[in-house]
Amino acid sequence: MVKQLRKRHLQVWAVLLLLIPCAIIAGWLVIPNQQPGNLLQPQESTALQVILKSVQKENYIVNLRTNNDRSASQLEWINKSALTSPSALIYKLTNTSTKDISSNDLIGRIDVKGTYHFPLKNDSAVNNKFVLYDIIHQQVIDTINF
Amino acid sequence: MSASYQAIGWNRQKKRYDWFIAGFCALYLSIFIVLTAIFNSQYTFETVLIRSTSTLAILILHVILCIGPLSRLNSKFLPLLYNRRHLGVTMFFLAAIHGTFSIIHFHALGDVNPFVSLFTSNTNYNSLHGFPFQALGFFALIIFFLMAITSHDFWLHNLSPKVWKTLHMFVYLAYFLVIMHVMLGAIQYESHPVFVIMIAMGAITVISLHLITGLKEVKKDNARFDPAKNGFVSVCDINEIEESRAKIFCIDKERIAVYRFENSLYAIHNVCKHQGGPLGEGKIIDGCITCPWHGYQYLPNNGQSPPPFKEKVSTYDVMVEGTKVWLNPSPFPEGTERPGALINNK
Repeated sequence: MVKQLRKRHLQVWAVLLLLIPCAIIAGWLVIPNQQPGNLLQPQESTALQVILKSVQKENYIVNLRTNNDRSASQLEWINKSALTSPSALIYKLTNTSTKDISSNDLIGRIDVKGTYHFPLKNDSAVNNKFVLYDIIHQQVIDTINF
Repeated sequence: MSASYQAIGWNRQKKRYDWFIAGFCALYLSIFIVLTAIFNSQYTFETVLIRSTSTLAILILHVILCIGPLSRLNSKFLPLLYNRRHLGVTMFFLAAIHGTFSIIHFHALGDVNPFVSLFTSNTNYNSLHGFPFQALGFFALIIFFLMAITSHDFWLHNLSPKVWKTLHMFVYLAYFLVIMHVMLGAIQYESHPVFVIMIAMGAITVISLHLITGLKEVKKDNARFDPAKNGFVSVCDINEIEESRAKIFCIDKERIAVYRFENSLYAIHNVCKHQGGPLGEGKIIDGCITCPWHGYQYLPNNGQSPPPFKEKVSTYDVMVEGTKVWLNPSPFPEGTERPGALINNK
């Protein structure tokens, strides 16, 4: 390498010494508290006995379930086929806006064809409004009102 | 090297190197897929393929970026430098598999062109958390693509070394884009601290190695010599130079390699015409100064590559007085014959 090129290399790495740590720290700081990656349900999860409400869509059926003594609630998502958005999250709306989706309750992640069960807080039987959200495209795919 | 850009027969070392790369990639991908099938069986094969190729490509990218400074620090790493472009092309193929499957998986099922969808489906450019990180990966992949297709010496000669080197220095921008792509993408959704630690450790290693070697080179460039006498500068003792090896001196602007060969000293410009390799860190093989990076050769007495090759570097006058070596830093035109200085000429 000629002297000028050696100098340029050193300058580039001096700049990267500043930029890369900033990028890593900034990326780390904006990680949401709720982690979608950990929300794939265990395979052995089973449905609660009672269906409270049900919504039928073209590609999926969504049921609100509870047990016999109504001490637990559950969202059942039956995917008839793989979603066109491969990485979709279900949020329970706690406010009316979907602009900052992470401020709502993250319920779970939908992936391939199959049946998914997600536990809900016990007060979920009333005023339930859910949103299916595409995390890659950052947009609402569908809204489910019970 | 080849005079006509034809394929060069793979020697044993190159074959072993390529088999090792292929074997390592196959082993890594297999282990990744099997472990995911055992511990995260919900994931689809597409997802596993996207993740396994991306992690492997990033691992190889870090290795590639470390090879340069490591070979500056220790000559045992030079064989890796010699074959670095193979590793680079392998990394591009892995990144391309990752990119292709990601575009199919995330963008091909809608009614919009997948490439249009890549840039228009998420326009949160003012949000760090929701930033369209896939675009960053796409641009990095474009850079890797340009580097892979121009990796052959045909392009080095036709683009000119300056343009070629400038193009290939974009790997540093690509590295930054990859870090951003990972931090604003995968890390946001798989935020286990171990992933952030791995990325940080990789970046610290790469940056440290480059800065350490860079600063070491600055020190070499700034070495001071006694004032010149009749244009010659006293540079070292004759016993400091081993037979068939060189010592490098930076007196004015550029480095000069002073070689000792068959009881004479010869001085040539230290920069190889091929990719700027340090000729003074090579050795004399078959009577030719051989670049440690890719084996380009030059005759010590005139700085010319042996026929049919046409590369030429500048030569310099060197002189021996007693055991002292004197060097004139004014270069002769490239390929100028110089007799060399006899060592026992007292």
